[in-house]
Amino acid sequence: MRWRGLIVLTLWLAAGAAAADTGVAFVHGTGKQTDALNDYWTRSFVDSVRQGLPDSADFVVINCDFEQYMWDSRAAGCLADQLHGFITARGIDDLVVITHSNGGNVMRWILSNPTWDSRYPTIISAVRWVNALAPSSLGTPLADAVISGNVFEQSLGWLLGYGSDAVRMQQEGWMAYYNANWLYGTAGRPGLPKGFYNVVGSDVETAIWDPDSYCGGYSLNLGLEITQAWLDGCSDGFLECTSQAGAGSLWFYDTSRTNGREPLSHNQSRRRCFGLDVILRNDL
Amino acid sequence: MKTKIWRFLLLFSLFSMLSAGAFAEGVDVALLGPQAGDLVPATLAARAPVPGGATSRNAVTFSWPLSPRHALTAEVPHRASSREYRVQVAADELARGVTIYTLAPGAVVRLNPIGSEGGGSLMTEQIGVRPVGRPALDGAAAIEGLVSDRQLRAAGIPFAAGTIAFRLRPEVGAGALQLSVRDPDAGRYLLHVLDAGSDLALDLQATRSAYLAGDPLAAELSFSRAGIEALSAEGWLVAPSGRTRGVEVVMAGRGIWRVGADLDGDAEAGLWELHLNAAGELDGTKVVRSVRTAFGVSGATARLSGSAGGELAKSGALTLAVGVETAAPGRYELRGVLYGSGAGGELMPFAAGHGAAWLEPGVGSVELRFDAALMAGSGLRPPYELRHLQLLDQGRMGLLQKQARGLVITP
Repeated sequence: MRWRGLIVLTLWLAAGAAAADTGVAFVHGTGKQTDALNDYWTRSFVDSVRQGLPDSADFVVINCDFEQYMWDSRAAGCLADQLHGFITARGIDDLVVITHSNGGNVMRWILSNPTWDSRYPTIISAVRWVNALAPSSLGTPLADAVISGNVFEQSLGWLLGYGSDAVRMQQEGWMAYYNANWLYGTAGRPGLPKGFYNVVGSDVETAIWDPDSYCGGYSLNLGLEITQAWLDGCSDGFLECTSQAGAGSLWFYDTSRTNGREPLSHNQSRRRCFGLDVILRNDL
Repeated sequence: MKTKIWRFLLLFSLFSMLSAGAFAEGVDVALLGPQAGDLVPATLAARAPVPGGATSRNAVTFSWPLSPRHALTAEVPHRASSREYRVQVAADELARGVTIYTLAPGAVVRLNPIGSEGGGSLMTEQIGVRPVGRPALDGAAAIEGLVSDRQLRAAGIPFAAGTIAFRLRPEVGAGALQLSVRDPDAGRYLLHVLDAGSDLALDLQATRSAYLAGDPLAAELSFSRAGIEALSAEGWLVAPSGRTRGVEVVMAGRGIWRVGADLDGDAEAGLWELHLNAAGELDGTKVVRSVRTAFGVSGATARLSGSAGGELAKSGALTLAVGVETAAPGRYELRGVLYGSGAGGELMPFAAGHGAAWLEPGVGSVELRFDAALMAGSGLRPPYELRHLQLLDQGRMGLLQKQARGLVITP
């Protein structure tokens, strides 16, 4: 009996030693966040997703200054600080990273430039994969439009220019340069060291009689309706589908997996809309 | 120079003996000459400030497997394509009516006051459009879906204060349309017209995505459709600091222009923008388009020295040390894709390798390491080749050297 107990204990300990400690990190998009849990993702979304963890406390919501260029110490440096702190403090060796929008670029910077910072290899090694919600991998014509509306070439230079380097960086020509020379995962380029799986939002619905238009905030979707005109036929109001699927691997187009085959606008792909939270939860 | 290279090779041999002892054997590593399309500094520029900020001083290497089935291709520079144009107009011009040019119904129009000169947001009721040969349409009869800067910002798109955007109703039609605004606030406005329904674009493509300071810039500007009568084109460069300068634009065919400029040897490092406006005529209708693209400019702070060495451990791990000649202190990174030989001798990619180290001026080296599991897991054999080779200046965000074919590694 004592022997059998010892064998069971040994097997249990061995299994425990082999099991991975799984965690999840939520990486926001453009903007300087100090409370991304409430201001960017919403608590209900994060709480729903993390229920898929063996220990639901093994999660971190990143708060960084993503108004900066992706490589900036306040962007990728800050993200590395918080991810490294999280995986070392909680012993995470199986990290699923969920990014939204430009957060995908900052994470892809770390994956593509492992020698930039001596913490990057540790982070990359701990990452299982990245679930990139509507990543702006190829930039967006809207970033060009925003910059051109704030920068008056040939007159005042960039002195009056819009202050966000992150928006400047997401212009299509700029992202093409970074993708060709500093980032991996786009067509014809080497693959990333870890999987980068895209969720692509394909439309914006703003019918006033349709309750689905209200998920994520009706007024937010209203702005995205007109900006769709700037973009190709397939877009989430901020990014063309080609940009969202421009790096890494396609996980799914919204309507192929969401409840009621509803599309995800750019605001809805970070909210508890149409079962997205459950899909992400089941992937942990 | 030669003395430095010999000293480097001697040091590398010593390193190899100490680190691997009798369990590793040297491999022949040869740097291939540049091919057409490669970026190679002819001379080095020493004038570069020491990078500040958080630039790391630790040497770091990292490698990971790639799928041999994943095809890697040569870089094709970005082709910018535009169906839109921008002009600045004064409030009194808007009040009188400004002609906008579209080829298809349903154009999207954006107006925003410029800087502190402009006023507040405009409303639908203030907008009027006069279609060709027809009476003017006002407000909701002419436009739809007007959104304000507040709505756009709420959606995460930070347009300038006072911005409005709307779509022309399809019944307004296309062509030369008179857009007017009743009682606009004084000042100047940026008028942005996206000819969303048109398939006629103005395309712009530079010959490469990255240049070295002192290189000539070359690009091609063209309308996307044949049969257009090209009228005019003008362009300019915007440096990272915002300083602008002109470019040469020469017509090279029907609807095609060659664009060129000499980048000074002390050109600012960073991303530059090339902006072009062009006008043409299609079946009697004027066409106006604005397009821009970006390209990198780097000061040549380092280049590959031509020396290289390596060792293959008995375990199968491969270590390469590649000589780098530096003119300015900094953190330099070498990266490339390792190809191995298949059963039929064909080369296939199987690993990406990066190495970075802080180097002082002179000749130093950067190391790349591919561990035994990575080498064995590929199932590929020597000879190996390191392709898609890049030398980067991390602290100054510069691409210094880029070769499609880099090192040949033979036991």
